[in-house]
Amino acid sequence: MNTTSRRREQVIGLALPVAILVISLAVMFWALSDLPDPVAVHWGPAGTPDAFGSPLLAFILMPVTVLAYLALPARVLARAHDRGPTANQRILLAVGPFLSTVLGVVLAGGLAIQRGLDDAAAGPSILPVVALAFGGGIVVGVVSYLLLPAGPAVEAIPDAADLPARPLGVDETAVWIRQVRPVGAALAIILTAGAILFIAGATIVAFVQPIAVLLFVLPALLLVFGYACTYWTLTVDRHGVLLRGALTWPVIRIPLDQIESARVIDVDPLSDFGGWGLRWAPRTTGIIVRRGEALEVARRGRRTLVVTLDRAAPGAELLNALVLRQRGGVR
Amino acid sequence: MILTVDPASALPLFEQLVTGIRGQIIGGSLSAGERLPAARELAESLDINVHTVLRAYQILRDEGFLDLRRGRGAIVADRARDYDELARRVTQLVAEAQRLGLTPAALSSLIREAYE
Repeated sequence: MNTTSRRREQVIGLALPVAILVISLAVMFWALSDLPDPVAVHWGPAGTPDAFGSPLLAFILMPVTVLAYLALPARVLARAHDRGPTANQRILLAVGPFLSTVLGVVLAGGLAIQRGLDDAAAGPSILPVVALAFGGGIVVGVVSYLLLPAGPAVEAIPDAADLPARPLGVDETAVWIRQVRPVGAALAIILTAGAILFIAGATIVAFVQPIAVLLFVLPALLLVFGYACTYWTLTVDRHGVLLRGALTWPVIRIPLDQIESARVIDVDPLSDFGGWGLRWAPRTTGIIVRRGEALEVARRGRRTLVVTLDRAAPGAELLNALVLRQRGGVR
Repeated sequence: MILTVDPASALPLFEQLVTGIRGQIIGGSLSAGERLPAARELAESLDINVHTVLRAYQILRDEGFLDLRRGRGAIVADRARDYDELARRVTQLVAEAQRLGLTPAALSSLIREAYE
């Protein structure tokens, strides 16, 4: 990727939200000179003020929220993505200007409409400000997304013949089996803690209000699904690639004759896939449970599979050897 | 874990399996408590008879590398650890043998003699 599109990503993803932040703060300072005391800090559903206090909170909330969010685009930009940003990365970058606009208009506008009032309770409705904030935020966000450079429409699929392959005898058969799991115990601890809290909550609720236990059915399914998508067994053999989730489900199978090549890549879960677990990115399905090394299995005309695990090279080399041998046998 | 078997090799298939699994336990890429695939699955992956895999698993159990439990499959045994030192010395031994121009067969016969 060239430096101009890189520069454009920096301007839209970081400089623009910061500029909106600064302008909003300036408007808030300007409004500060002529505000009632206390000011309205909360409005009811009808748009009329229903809570009053110091304007200080707005001055803290605005920069803290925007700057905390900008840590994400900063991380995306710190990573070299030579082929241009993926759709996920463009969304992460465009959310900055959106968030900054919504917050800026609501907070600065909320103060500005109170200028010159003697009593904040008599202030005008906040609803036009909220409408302007979300309308403006969506426009700014969409335009930002569209202005960001797009990654290539179709990425060239490397040929197995150009990648490292394991030497394999004519009659030799081989299998590579690995566990796909998060680094260390961090995620296991989170999942276990989640399960314990969940069971405790459900138990308490069951005593107090038995019917409310139904509320826990969906979170329970999500927890089980999350667990099943976090621990996998990966098998590479003469049939191709087989992935089996922790509860022997889900099962993902890629027949050898669909596979074009395999290689080792480097994955950052948040910026490449927008998170962890079973993920869908453009043209790619990801089993993303950790940061770092990953096995990438490319298929012609179909979705690429990415599985995060360390020491993936022997698997990629075996897969390339199997692909080449099958090709040789077919032709 | 990576395993290969070659029917064209002079070594019997079960022995190729034993060598492969044992080597990875000693080399540390298979660690204590890790579960090996069910014999049926491994046989299917490698296109060999399930009894060949079972025979390899039984030999490794007799050598103390695996625990075989009904319904739980084959698990790398607890006592199959602390091979770091041995693995290091084997590497040194092979390097020394190569420096002296010894073939693998010559080195292994030397080791076999030392056992007797």
